[in-house]
Amino acid sequence: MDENIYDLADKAIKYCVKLGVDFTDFRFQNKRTNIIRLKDANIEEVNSGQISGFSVRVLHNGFFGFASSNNISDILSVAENAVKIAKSIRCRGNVEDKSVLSESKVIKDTLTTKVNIYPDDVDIKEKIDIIKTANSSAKEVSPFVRTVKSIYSDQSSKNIYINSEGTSITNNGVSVNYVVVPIVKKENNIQQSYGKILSLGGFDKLILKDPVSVAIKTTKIALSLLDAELPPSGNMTVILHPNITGLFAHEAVGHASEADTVLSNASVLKGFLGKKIASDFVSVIDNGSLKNKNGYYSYDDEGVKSQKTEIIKNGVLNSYLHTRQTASKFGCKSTGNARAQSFAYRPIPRMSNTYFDKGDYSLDDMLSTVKDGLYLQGFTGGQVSPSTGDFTFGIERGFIIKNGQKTKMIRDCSLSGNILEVLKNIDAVGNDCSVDMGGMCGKDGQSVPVDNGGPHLRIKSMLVGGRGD
Amino acid sequence: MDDYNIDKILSAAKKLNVEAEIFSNSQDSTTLTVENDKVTSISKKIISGYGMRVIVGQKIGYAYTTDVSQLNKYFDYAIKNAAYANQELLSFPEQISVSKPKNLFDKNVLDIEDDALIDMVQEMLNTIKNYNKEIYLTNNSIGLVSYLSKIQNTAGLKHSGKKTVCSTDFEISFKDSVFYGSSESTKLKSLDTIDLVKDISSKVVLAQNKKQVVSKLQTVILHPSVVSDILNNTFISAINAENLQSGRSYLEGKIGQMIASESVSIIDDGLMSGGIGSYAFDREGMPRQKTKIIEKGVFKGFLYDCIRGQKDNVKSTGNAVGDFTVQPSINTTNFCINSSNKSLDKLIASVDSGIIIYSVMGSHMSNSVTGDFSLTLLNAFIIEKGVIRKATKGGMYVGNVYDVLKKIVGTSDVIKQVDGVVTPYISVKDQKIVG
Repeated sequence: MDENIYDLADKAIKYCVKLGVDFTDFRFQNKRTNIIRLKDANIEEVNSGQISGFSVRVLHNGFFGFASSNNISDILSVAENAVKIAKSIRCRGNVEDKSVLSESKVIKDTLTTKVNIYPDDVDIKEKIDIIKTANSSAKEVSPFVRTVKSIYSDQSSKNIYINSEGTSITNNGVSVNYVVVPIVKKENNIQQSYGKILSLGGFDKLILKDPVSVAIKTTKIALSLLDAELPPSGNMTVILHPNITGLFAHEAVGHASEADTVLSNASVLKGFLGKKIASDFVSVIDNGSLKNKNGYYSYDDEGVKSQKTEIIKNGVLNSYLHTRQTASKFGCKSTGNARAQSFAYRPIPRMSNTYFDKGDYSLDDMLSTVKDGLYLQGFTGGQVSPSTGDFTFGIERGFIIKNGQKTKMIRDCSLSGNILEVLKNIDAVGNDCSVDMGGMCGKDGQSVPVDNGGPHLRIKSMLVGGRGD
Repeated sequence: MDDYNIDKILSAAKKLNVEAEIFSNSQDSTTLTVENDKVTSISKKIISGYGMRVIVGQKIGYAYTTDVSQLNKYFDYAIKNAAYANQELLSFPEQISVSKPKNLFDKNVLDIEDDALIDMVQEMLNTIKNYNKEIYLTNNSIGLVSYLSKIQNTAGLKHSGKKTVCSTDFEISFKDSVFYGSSESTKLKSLDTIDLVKDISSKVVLAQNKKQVVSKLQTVILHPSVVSDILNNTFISAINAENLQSGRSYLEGKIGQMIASESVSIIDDGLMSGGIGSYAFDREGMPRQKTKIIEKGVFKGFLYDCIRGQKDNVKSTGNAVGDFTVQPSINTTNFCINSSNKSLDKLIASVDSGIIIYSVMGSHMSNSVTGDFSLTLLNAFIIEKGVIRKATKGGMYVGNVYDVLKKIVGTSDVIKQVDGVVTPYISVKDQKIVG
């Protein structure tokens, strides 16, 4: 079957070249997934599936066309559709809007995730036993644990990228994930928390990360929320745990530095390249080549090698995140950030593993000088409007700081701020650093895996929206 | 889609004494993207696949594939998976007649040429520039999707249907102000892009004058998209029978209780004419229906599919949803909140001191169990003595959905459907705004 795919890709590319395109690329994906869903000891779902398909992207006289299908026998009509689209856009476009692609090395490579135990070689029963044990261990933590829900999933995928310049990359990937949601109840107070293990690799990787301990730890967090208070509102000093620092790096800095938003005049960071936007001790990095992180990939969806990009270097905006198309508009090279959710989507600039670089402060030093403030640990999500730079984070839990000490536990609040203001308000960067937030990032209807992190950060003033008095 | 292959699998299932259900779904979509006043891409996507659910000795197994040549192999996986599952269903539903909602399909969505789509954008741009040359369409996407779904099972049930969905989301900028707008419809004409950009253009210019919000309790008027954001991330999770049975519904044990202001009635209407969430049948082939959620402030009940219905010994409410890659789960169809005959202008005029909120950030981070939310204001204006004044600068709206429901003091006559919620503007008293 695979040989057939390469032949068909070659045929489609030659056909597009015959139709007069400047460039064309072909992406194929075949992904197999197994999912097991448990509620307490009850197995609610065992699901096995397979999705495959391909896409053709063309650059014709400076304009792109993109089409996809999951019926490989349609390949020539899909290619023709892509060319037709490019022609339609070109007819209405202006000469100055023409795109070219920045130069990129021709790559021939085949990659295979290193796996000790393939998930397909593990009996379903063994997979079930592991999460069942995790669920029952979580249930035993306290009588207040009402329900424990968990999802095990494994994926095996083959991704092929071929372009008209001669690049051909085949990537055979394997990943195993585990998610646990304990729901706890005390009188009328219901709380839940969310824990996960995301592993690029085989079944052994999951075992190594110990689902039982993750389930117990997450349950203890949910239980602690039962007694947490609702925090006050207003502007105050906040110290961010590395997880929330990661959210800050991602939502506030990362999205606004994706070059497509800059080009469409929709980024508050437009015009700041080379300018000071934060203190000297602030640096923010995107690095898709960090192995074992959720946002890791060897090559992006344009066949460009992933790399470390310093978005903010010592307080100065140093680089945006580029695809080959956006890079050519800025006269630079792609940073290897072209990513697509699947074969069915066009690649656009996306983050990978994004984090603040570490500084000099210990957490104790940071806490010691805060008279009144919040230490924020867990999050529920984040969102940004790159155009205005306004962003918000959902906070699951944290502590009130009084006279340099962590005091009462709090839950459920939001942080709100503006990128350019908050970057200037960072007054201490921790000497620790972890990139472990793992999750999915959504943009333009596409979702891709990312990781985020950094050290503890202290921000001297941020708006907190809490429901307490 | 391939009836021959589906029939073959179902007869094979019968021979094995296995109950089987096959859901097939085909989706044909076009997405146009505009960046900074220019059409930068059009993407076309065709995807179809088969989801197979089996009952073996009352246990459920599931598998799916996009590859018709792999149907038999994945059907075998479904049977194998059933051996492990504890989820039980006595049988699949038998054939039952369904009524087709009106205005769900528009042939123009399939037929429209790329050039005509680009013309649509050009017309939007002309409208914006006629209003003010300094306004930009920074981001815009127009999505046109045509769905074809079929469901067939060994109990003799067989339904098929089609629907089109058109949507647009955009961001318009003027100097340092940005305003967001969106619209969705089953028909291309009803997308009303021109009226919408005209309206948003006037608002983005008005938003130039900004004022810091003051922290206090005040009346808020919520735009339908904000009502939808809040409900979708809090209340709608609580009326889902799956969440009820998992112990994470705030509404557990509250049927028959007053949970909202007496003026509030909500129904889930799976048969609404032109409703984005409408269809003749649900993901299990059960007829879509109208289900009362709140009547004059009193909570009436939860939404069910067959599995959860069997557990609570009630009938499915026809709320099973999902594509072919997942087992059916429960969700709303068209979640309709009652409107009034009061114009939006009159609703605004009745507010002495408050805020009208058009868009927010952070609703997906709400606590779906407790109903607490804390939203960052994106587009909002201050109302003083019944008149819209300056736009807000910064600020958050902090609250709880169950408090909102109890403090609704008025609704408008204008209704919009946003992400499955069909709602008027809603005026709520004593809400916490933080500056």
